[in-house]
Amino acid sequence: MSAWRLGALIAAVAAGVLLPKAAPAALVGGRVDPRVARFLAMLPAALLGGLAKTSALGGGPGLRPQPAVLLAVLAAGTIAALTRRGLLAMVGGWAVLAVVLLLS
Amino acid sequence: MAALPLVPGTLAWAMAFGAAATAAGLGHGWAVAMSVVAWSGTAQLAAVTMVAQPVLLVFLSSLLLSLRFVPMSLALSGLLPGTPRWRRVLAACFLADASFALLAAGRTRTVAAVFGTWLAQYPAWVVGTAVGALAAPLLPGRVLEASDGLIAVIFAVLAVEAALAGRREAAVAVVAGAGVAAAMLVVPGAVALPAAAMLAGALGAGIRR
Repeated sequence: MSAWRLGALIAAVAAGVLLPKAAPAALVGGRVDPRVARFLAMLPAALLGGLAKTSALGGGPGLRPQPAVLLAVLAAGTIAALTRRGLLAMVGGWAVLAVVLLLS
Repeated sequence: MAALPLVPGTLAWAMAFGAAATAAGLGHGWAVAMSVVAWSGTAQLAAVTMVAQPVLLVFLSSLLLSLRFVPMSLALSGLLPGTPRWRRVLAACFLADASFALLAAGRTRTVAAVFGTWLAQYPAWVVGTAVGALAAPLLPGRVLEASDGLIAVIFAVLAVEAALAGRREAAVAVVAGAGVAAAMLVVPGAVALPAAAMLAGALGAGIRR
């Protein structure tokens, strides 16, 4: 495979990634309609809930949860909710992940 | 400092990409070059399975897999209030899933902080790719599984923190999560995530207090 072809491939990936990042931010102005502002204010929580789900379930079509990942996510979420200490919750979740992966 | 917990997951994920790229026949230098220029694990992993396909198809695949950044980029308007448009566009270019999660959970709230999270993640991504590409035959098969788990834990903790901010936010996060799970029965996560998040956001904004 030629260097030109590989260079074009990399440029295509970069363009496909950058376009959806930059274009919406460029299109939304500083002042927006109050209804749009309420919608934009809800997006972070919605995306976090969705990201937690997709990362726990795997990104492909269909649900293919890995038991080790699910257990780690459950442990981390429970510790975060009970203690409200993020770093402790992350370390706890990672510890569960390591133990389950080592045992399986 | 807020971005430091992201480094182990980024390193492991990058090593998995480097190993996959080498296995697909991409040279070590090209694998690292892709990480330097594109900086997106999901799109890059998809691209190494499509090296023989037309470049336009690779572009469309990357675009589809990156649609989740559309609502993230839109949300910057509320997360970085008073920031000039050009700086929001710049911040959007430096965003990754995990750095957005830090921003959304309120751990960071300035363009400089977004750049700081990029500064923590980007070198880890590039170095991890190089290590993965060079050490591909030696890496255990569970590196990818471990990287998925490391990142999933971060998202779960940040989602719980965001949900604890208020009932409406908690409801929106739960509805979005359920929507993503339901949508993933029929479409990939790359499509399910932005669609469910924007729907849950619209529902949350439409319900009166």
